[in-house]
Amino acid sequence: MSWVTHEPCVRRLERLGPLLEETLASEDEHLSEVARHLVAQGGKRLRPALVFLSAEFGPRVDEDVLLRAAAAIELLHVATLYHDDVMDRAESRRGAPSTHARWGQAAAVTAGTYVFARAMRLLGGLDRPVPAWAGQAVLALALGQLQETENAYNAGHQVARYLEVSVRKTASLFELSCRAGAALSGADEDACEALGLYGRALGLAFQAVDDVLDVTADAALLGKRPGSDLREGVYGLPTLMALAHGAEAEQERLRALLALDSPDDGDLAEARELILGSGAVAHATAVADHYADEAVSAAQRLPDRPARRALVQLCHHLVLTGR
Amino acid sequence: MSHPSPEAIADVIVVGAGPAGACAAYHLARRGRRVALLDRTAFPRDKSCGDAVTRAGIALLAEMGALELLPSAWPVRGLRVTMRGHAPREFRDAAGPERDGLVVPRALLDDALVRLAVAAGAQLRERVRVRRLVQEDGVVRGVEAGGRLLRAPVVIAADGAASALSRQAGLTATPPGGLGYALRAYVEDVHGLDHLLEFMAPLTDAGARHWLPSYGWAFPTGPTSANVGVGLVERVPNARSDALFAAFLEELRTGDPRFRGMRPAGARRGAPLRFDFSPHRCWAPGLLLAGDAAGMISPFTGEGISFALESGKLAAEVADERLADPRDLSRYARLLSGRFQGYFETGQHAAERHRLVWHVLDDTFDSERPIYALVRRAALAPEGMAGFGSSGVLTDARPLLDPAVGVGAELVEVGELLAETMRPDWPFLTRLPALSSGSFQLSVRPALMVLLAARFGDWRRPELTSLAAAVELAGLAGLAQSGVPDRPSDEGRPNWGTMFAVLVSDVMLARALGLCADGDLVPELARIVEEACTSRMRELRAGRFPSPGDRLALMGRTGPAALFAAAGELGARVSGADEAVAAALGDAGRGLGLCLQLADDVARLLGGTDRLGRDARADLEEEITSYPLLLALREDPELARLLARADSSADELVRRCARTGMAAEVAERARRLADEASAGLATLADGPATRSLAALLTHAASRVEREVLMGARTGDGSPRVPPARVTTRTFSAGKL
Ligand SMILES: Cc1cc2nc3c(=O)[nH]c(=O)nc-3n(C[C@H](O)[C@H](O)[C@H](O)COP(=O)(O)OP(=O)(O)OC[C@H]3O[C@@H](n4cnc5c(N)ncnc54)[C@H](O)[C@@H]3O)c2cc1C
Repeated sequence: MSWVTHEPCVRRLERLGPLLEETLASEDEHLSEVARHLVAQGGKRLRPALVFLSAEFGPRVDEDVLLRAAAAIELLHVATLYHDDVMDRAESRRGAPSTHARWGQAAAVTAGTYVFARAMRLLGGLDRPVPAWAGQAVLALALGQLQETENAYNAGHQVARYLEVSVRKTASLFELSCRAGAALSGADEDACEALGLYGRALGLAFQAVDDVLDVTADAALLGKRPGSDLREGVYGLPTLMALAHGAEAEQERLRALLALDSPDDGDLAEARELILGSGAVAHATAVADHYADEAVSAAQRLPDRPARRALVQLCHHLVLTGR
Repeated sequence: MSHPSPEAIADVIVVGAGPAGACAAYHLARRGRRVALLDRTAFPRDKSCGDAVTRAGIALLAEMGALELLPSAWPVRGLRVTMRGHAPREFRDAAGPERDGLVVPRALLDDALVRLAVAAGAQLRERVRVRRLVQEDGVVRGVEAGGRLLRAPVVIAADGAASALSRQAGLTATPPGGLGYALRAYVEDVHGLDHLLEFMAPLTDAGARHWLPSYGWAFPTGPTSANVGVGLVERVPNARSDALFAAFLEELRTGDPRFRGMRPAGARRGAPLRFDFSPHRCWAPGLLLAGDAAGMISPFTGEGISFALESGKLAAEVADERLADPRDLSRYARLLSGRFQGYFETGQHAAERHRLVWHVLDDTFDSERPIYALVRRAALAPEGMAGFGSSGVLTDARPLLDPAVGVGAELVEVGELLAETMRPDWPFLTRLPALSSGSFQLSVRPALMVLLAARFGDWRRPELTSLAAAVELAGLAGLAQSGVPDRPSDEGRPNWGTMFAVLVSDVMLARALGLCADGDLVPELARIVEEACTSRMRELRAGRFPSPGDRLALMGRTGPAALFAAAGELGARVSGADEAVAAALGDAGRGLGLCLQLADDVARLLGGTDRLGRDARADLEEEITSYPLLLALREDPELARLLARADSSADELVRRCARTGMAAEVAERARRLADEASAGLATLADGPATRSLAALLTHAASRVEREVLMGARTGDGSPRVPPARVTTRTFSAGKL
């Protein structure tokens, strides 16, 4: 089953690729090349799909405006990938060498900021209130990232605060996508609200699934070494669950491993085993399911249209791929 | 009041006669108020402390006439910081009329301050332990001590870090990271500490596998004696301060010849540390908190005496003013937050954020990249230290501006807006460029360019202040990003410095765009950022050694030149000036930015420091070779080899540059750039703004000439700032 089969959405997604590349053109060839590196590799374009599906709930769509909004939001996301990869020292992204591995950190960071600025320029030209929402989402993203880094290596990180970070750094763009699509199509208030809730819950489910994958998936599927979040001190939901609910002796051992200043591969492998053995994955998966249910019930508040079915399908697909 | 009250014993009751309380009592008495100063002990009394008073505190002591009473205090002229595994760094007090810092045992200092308060008229009551606050209808009306009720319209709680009174008033809770703790002892027979405070951080456990949010110090109290100690910034499971202390002493004894013969003199003594100051929790109706009772200790250096003195003085001022109706003392909160914003972190993130800054300091201690130089200063250097934000480094723009141009108040407003914008996200960030300091607000900076350019249109447009603040933030974001090195320094470890640079730049950019949202200026600002990225990419690709001419062309499109150009153009356009005017102002801004940068670049190479307080070590590290250095390289090809080596000395770089004709050429170039930009101003209407811009340009060019002259005077190019001794040491603290 494909993640989106909704016909108009698929068609628009096809038009998106060229627009993204065109938007990232720069008078400097080198910058164009580096800035297009990630979009050229494709990727799922989940956020644009949300824009397109959400736009099905209003009376009118201006195709160009909608495409522009979808492109801009996708680029906001892509910009964060450039910066995240530098911060996490990720060796690869989408199966290819990461931007900084290829062109150096300084160029990668610069390209990320360029992508971001292009996105903001596009968004700034849209009708109110979309630019203001975009501004809020951008700030949430930056602050979420900051908060995540503050909590790096913090084995005392609370699940509640973890969710706060996820709302900011992941859910905010999902929510923006849905709201922007709704607003630009002139959808009514109820639909906007329902779509906003859907986006936010979907984002949280997505983040939880992503965290689970980091400890369960193997390297080939992940495109990076499993457990690399652990090495970077980014404790995802399973880790926090293991620290909160695991058996006492295991908890203590895990805490000791995480407290090491520079853990080696053996330490990390042991930590991963402890997490897997603690039942935390099931707990984390339950959290993902919870938010997926929330997203689906928000979608149920929308009028029954093919796009509604597509949103539900998209949610199920995202959560199931994490198993 | 609903019921008759017994006679008040004073206008103000001050609980605690440490620096905060004694200073408050002194200033109240001087204002003619009746003050009762209560302390549970009798003076002189000892207090666990590192005994170091920095310059900011010295000014307050001098004002009270305390220095004359402390002839044996040991003067200190700076701070030497050693971080594990790195060569030490010195932060020297800027030369100036200010006095030196002092190390003075608290037994002496506090006694002197109490005596001064008494001499001024305060009524001292020793051995009086205050049990609790007395509150009526939510207003503090006095205290209870020794079974008696003591009344006064205002109570100042200066009862130290363990303050029972602030807790009773609901103004403190144990912070999430727990309280910090510090321990000190006096030692004798140490040699060669001279007049510097020694500060070491962070301490690690024996295997160096665990990193502790902690520091150690050795502060000279005389020619051969010192106060040594350790501080733990938060509670860490299994870390014991006494073990940490013992290990630290052992480390000093065995690792540093100056401490080889060290002998303890007296017992060691510890006390809690509180860093949780928040303007929202520093007063209640009828009650003011001062000093440690308000949580005012720097989490990075443990400094608290100067904050105690200053908050004591401000508390006195507010109590005096509001005596008739002491229910609303909110002005105290405003004064403190204006003064100390950024020094303290509060709320649930505090402990994590301190830890993040520690990691960044540790990771970037050897780096001269601008953002890291700023973080280091913001965290470690007390006020008044040589470098950014201190007198002499930033040019005060005011004397250069035409008196009729009147942008001073607007500049201050922009500074306040900047601080307000960044504070909610992370108060520490407001300290990076010393945003709150007057010398920064009034220096030659992009906001000034925006405001001057706006004088060519309708300068009353409300969005101009936001625009000016946004341009400043975008500039800072760019500065932060330029801190990202091309390759990670150590593949195996988290790159805290890079993370910090990226995070900070992203938050600042987001905030800058937010500031632009109201005036629909988002696309304009986004365009500037795009241009900056394009130029930065070209600069990166041009490599380390383009021709000087190419570098100059690149410089015109990046850094300060690009920023000031954008500021000029946007300021003009937003105020409605026509495109030709905007273009001319863009050129003027570019010329100004170029001259500012040339002055910075040449200053470092001639043995001085730039506006960020960086010296020639920065030139050894940067991937982008400056224009002056490229000129020098043309004459002295040996320099290329120097730049390629990892262990080159900045002194040698300075010596070699001084032997070339680079300086004169740079001065000449700056003069020409300024002249060209001034000629462009001729197309604009004459007026105060045009004259101010011309004066700024002339000044910027002459700053280059001044740097060149100063470099020439030191002759051989010997550095003007004494270099740090290069020894690499690790501080570990044994098994905990
Ligand atoms: C080990 C250590 C080293 C330090 N090193 C330095 C340094 O080198 N430089 C620096 O600037 N800062 C340093 N500090 C911080 C500095 O000591 C404090 O910030 C400073 O003492 C604060 O002054 P204060 O007046 O607020 O409180 P205190 O100096 O603690 O004074 C509080 C007074 O209140 C009295 N009191 C308390 N409760 C009551 C009561 N219920 N009734 C009556 N009286 C009461 C106490 O007897 C005491 O005299 C250090 C702190 C520690 C623990």
